[in-house]
Formats: sequence, C-alpha cells, structure tokens
Amino acid sequence: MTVATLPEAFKSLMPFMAWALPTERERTIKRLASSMDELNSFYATAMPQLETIVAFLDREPLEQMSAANKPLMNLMLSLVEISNIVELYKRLDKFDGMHPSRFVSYEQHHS
Amino acid sequence: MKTLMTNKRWAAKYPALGTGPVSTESCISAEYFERERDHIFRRCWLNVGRVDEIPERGQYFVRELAVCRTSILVMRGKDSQVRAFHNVCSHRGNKLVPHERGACPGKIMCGFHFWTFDTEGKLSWVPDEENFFGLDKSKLGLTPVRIGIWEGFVFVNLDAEGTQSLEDYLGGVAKQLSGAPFGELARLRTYKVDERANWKVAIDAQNEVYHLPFQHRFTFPDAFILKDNKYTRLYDVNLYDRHCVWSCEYNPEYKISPLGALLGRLDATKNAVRLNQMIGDFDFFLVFPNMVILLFKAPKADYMVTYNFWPLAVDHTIWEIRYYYPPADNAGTRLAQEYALCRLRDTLQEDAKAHEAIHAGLASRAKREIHLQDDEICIRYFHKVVEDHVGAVELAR
Ligand code: FES
Ligand SMILES: [Fe+2]
Repeated sequence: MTVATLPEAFKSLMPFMAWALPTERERTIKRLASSMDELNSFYATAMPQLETIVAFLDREPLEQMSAANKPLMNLMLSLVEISNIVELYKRLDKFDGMHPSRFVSYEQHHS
Repeated sequence: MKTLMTNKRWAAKYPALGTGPVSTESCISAEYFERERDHIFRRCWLNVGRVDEIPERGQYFVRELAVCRTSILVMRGKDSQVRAFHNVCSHRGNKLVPHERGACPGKIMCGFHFWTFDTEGKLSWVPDEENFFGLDKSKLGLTPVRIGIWEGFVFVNLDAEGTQSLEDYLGGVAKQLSGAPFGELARLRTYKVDERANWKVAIDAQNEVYHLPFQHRFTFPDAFILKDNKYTRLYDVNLYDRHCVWSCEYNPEYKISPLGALLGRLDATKNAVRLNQMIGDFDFFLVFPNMVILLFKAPKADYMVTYNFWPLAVDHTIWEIRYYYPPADNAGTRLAQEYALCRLRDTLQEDAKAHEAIHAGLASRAKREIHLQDDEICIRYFHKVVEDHVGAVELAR
C-alpha cells in the first residue's frame, strides 16, 4: 500500500498519516495502541489546522469527497477520536469504562 | 433556568408509586427471568428495527429474538407492505433465512429442500410436489407475526391472541412524539455490547442522571442543570401507561472542550432537523419493556440515540446502541457529529462497566434491596410495571 499524500498546505501532518483511518474501529485500535506523547503530538499538530482543513474540504460536497481528500478527512476524524483523552482525561489511565473492543461498532447505515 | 429545585417533587406528582426500597431479587432470579419471557417479552410490542432498513420491495432483515426463542423475518413485499413472520420453514422447520439481511428477487427459498415462498409469505413452490400426500400449499405459508409501525420504528408482538394495537400500546409516548421527523435522521453508527448483566440492571443504570457528576466525572459531569452546582436534577418526569420519560435542561455553565467549541462553530449544516415534540433539552423515553429513545437538542440540529436491551439469560444481555443524526452536508458537521458520538460513547462505556459490576453485586445477595431517591423515580416505576406484568418476586433464601 502506498502512503497517501497530503496537499502541500497540510504537509506537517504527514508524520501522522497512520491515523488516516476510515472506520471508528480502526481509529479506536490505533488510539489504544498509542502513548500519551503520541496522542499529544498528533493533537498539537492537527488541532490548530482544523479550521483551515474543514474550509479546504468543504470546497467540494461532502457526499462526493474526492479520494484524494479522504485521508485528510479521516485524519480529522482521528483527531476527534483522541480528543476525549487529550482534552478531558489528560492521562491514559483515567478513563474507567468497559474495554472499547467490547463495543462492537458498525459503520453501515443498515444495522 | 426552568428546572425547579424543590426536593421530592416527583413523589408528590406520583404519590401512588410509594417511596420504599425496591427488591433486587427480580434481577437475579433465573425463575423470575423465565416468567419475564412469557409475561413481558411474549406479550408486549418489541422494537426490532426501522422501516428505512428495508426501503425497497423484496428487502428483508432478520431479528434473532432469543428471549422469545424465535427468529423473526421482517420483509417488504412486492406490494410494498412490510410484514413479519417466524423465520421458520413450513416443511420441516428449518431456519428459512440464515443471514441478517438481504433482498430477494420475488421469492425466498429454504436451503434444506428449496421450498419457496413469495414476498408475502405464501408458499409458492415445492420441489417434487407430486410425491407429497394431499399438500395444500395455500395453508402452508410462513407463520405471520403481528407487526406495527410507528414513526418509522418497526415493532412486533408475539402474542398471536393479543388485540391491542401498537399505537394504543405506546399510548402517551405515541402522543408526545407524534409526527417527530425521525425519518429525516440517518443512522451513523451502531454498537452491540455483550454484557454479563441482567437487562433491568442495565436499563436502571441508564434510567437516571443522579450518577452523572460522579460516575461520569471526567466525561459528562456538568451537561445538565445542577442543584447548587453539585447534583443533577430533572426538569420533568411523565409516567405513561407502562412507559415513562424524564427530561433535563442543559447547564448553561457546561464547560465545553476546545475541540467541542471549535466544531460547534464549524458545524455549518443547512439540514436543521428539529424535534419540536421534545419536552426538555434532553429526553429519555423508556418504551416498555426494552427500548429507550434519547432525544438531544443541539444548536444546529437535534438528534436521536436509541437503545435496545435484549436479554439472553438472567445475567446476560445484548445492549444495542444506535446513533441517528441529520445526514451531514459538510465536513464541519460530520466532525461535530463524530465528536458528540465519541463523547457519549465513552460515557456509555463507563456505564457498561458499571452494569456488570452492579449485577455481580446484586447476584452476591449481600443486599436484597436498593434505595432510590426522588429523581430515580423512573427506576421505581419501571420495576413496578415489570411486577404488574410478571407478579411479585419471591425472595430466594
Ligand atoms: S425444511 Fe425447508 S425445505 Fe425442507
Ligand atoms: Fe451513565
């Protein structure tokens, strides 16, 4: 698999391309496998660019998002995925819920 | 603020319910669970899906109703009508449809000997029919199950002798939510959680907001109005015939996270679905016996989450969670929806862990009853409705 590339303006996110994951299940697995430092550095790089990225993505209708822009969108979905830890819990061991792998998630609209 | 902070309001509104402790035996007794099967799940209307899962003719889905010891096939016929059947072949009882969903081109075939049914459930073809003895195909269609559709939600009722319509069964819930534009919302995600807990223990843990500032101190401590800035209080409670709803008012001092605030601004939806039928800013409708409809007001568009709790055994439940939002029409909205979803998801994971811990605690029989405060009134009511159906529980020694 070739690593997708990002538009020039967002090249600073290239080190985080492993987060460009299309499903919640994959994003959660990646989050659970990451250290606090990794989460913080992804958040610190992505968060300040979010507004510009959304404006960039919204140049085309969401339903017809081009394949080239999907990795950027998926990166932003991963930013959302990690934000509870970074913004609320601030530590990996604070959240005290059922293991997320037991929340079996289905993306499709028909389930 | 609209919420009144006077103590013990709901006992005053519903004095007949009483205020005493509630027995826990009904949550741990295997014998009681068997009675619940017969007197609740085989008698009541049960939500099994939404009609938008099968928009086209010939589409169907299957719902395993382990608690009723049957599998149900819900299918849209060639005539567009949605019907429900026992998913059991008329020949020798094989499971007709072995998968979860699909579409048939006009006939549905059993895998054992290819007996074939049309989309209305009629038996249309039997291989080597001449070798049977006086087979009357017109009497050998699939066994129908009573079905009702309310605001897009599909319900079935396994009581073949029952006569109460779904609308009548839903009573106050149907009246309150009549015309709600649920069909304009799209399912964004489904979770299925396999839990070692009694189904009522799981529902009870969701059926109040007293626990928010404590159990959810990191995830959702201050979403709703707090008395003296400490204790969540309900805005309204309505007990209907067997169902109930409690409502909350949002806390204007809610501490929003930086990402939450930013996405609130970037959410540029033009698809502003409004659920004007709501009572508070957040409503929790418990549709007896095992469905919950949660409605959320939000600045740009309202949304819905549903729960279905499916018992497998006295101590084993599948908790299904479905998120419905107006279809996102821009990236900011899509991300804002994912944010709300993840925020609530983590809260529900905290809840789910508690369901199992509470069940284990009750199963130890160290405590034989639970104590409810006034804002936990819907738990009290739910257990009373269960008892109205099943009868009182006998204390095991
Ligand atoms: S059991 Fe279905 S065709 Fe024989
Ligand atoms: Fe909770």
